[in-house]
Amino acid sequence: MEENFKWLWYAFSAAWVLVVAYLFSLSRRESKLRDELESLKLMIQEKRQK
Amino acid sequence: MDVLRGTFIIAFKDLRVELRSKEVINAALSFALVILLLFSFAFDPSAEETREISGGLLWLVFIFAGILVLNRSFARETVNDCLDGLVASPLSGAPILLGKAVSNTVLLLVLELVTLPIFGIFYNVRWTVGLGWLLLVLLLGTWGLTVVGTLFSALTVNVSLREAMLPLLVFPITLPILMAAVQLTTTLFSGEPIAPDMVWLRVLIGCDIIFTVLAGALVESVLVG
Amino acid sequence: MKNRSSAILAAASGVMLVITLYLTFLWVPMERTMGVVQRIFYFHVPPFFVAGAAILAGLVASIRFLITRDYRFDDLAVSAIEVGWVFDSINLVMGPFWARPVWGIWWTWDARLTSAFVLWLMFAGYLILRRAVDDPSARAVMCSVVVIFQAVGGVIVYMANRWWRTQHPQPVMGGGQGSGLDPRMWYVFLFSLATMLVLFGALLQTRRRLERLRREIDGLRRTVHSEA
Repeated sequence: MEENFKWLWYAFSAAWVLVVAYLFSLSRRESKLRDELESLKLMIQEKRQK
Repeated sequence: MDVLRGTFIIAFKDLRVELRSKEVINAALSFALVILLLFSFAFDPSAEETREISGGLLWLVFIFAGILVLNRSFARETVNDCLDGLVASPLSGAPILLGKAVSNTVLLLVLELVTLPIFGIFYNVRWTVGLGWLLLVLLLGTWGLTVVGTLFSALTVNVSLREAMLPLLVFPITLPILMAAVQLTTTLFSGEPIAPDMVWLRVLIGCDIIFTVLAGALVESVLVG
Repeated sequence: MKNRSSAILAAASGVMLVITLYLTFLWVPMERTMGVVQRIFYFHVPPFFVAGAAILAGLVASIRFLITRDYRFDDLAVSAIEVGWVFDSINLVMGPFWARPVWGIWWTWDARLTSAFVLWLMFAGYLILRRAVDDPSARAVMCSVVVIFQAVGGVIVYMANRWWRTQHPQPVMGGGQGSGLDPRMWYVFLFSLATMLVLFGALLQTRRRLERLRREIDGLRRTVHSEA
């Protein structure tokens, strides 16, 4: 029984790692994109003011 | 019919260009021989078990050497804006694709027919029994791989790492063709009757039809955007 | 409006996930032959179906993109493929942890596993191609064509593998995969499948939002350059 718990634990940990890693990747990509968007908007504003 | 004429024009053009330099066919052939050499180290070529996987080995040689031919198919056209010229010509996408697929199939068949006897010698495989069936399998299998490979060659022509992308994209898609060809070839090499494997022949024909139609339908999007 | 649907999906998937965990570990009866390990089944198999649904969604989205050239369909396609890839990865990664204690081997080339792996390679190929092309319109067209071939090819691969693998000896599958399943196990399995689909939807919406952002940035960049 204890043997089998080990495999159960590994399997679920692996699955969770994948999900969490993906969520992390999504959130990091989103913040990078939002930063880029902000800086672009700033650039356009500056250009228009000139 | 215009498509038929266009197909032959393109096919003859490509074959003529290749015949002049023979660079692709030489490279592919040499690569095939290298693979045969490497296989001899991967396992014992004389063992009985080898005969069971002989079909698989042969087709592995064909696809790895053949991918060189398929890669060049559209890569060759990027020089001097030939591809733009082709697209701008009165030919629609279908004859361009089919013409190149035909010429690639011819080149691959040449590769296969030269490699086959050498393979037979190196690995003591009898390939002359059921030769008619074998040629049919070679033709159907090669066409299926080629029509998809040629379309994807056009698709990846401007992509970086094109040489790696082509096999990565083409092989998972054409896996059933490969499976069918390998199964039929192994059966033919072992001298057994082909009747129980007829389903695989149907798979080959079915895949060929499906992929040819699909490629013909999508070629315009690939070439023109 | 988009943010609300995505928030609802996210909340729903969170709740359903908790319920599924409870059902899996505390409610469903113990399987006779395999013991605790069998519970992996409830989280390992549904992702494969989700991945299959993902590539079909990608297929439909790609066809509609090629016809309409509306980039929202391209957003949907790339999101479906990417999230589907994650789900297929979950399926592939959990499987060996079940196989090892139950069959004694990490892997076997049966129809389902082979298909799962081929699917994974298809997703990966698409995502690599996506990154390799810079021009947005060429990228969208190429990826759409690729998905159409992959989906059709994928269906044929699955069917062909079922014929192929029945010709070769394979390990006898220990019971639990749909053969004489206790009805309670079925309920948990179906609920888990529903949970995975809702989770897929939530992640899909998030990924689509990302793609929309990217397009907005591309558009702005072009504006910046044209005004320069």
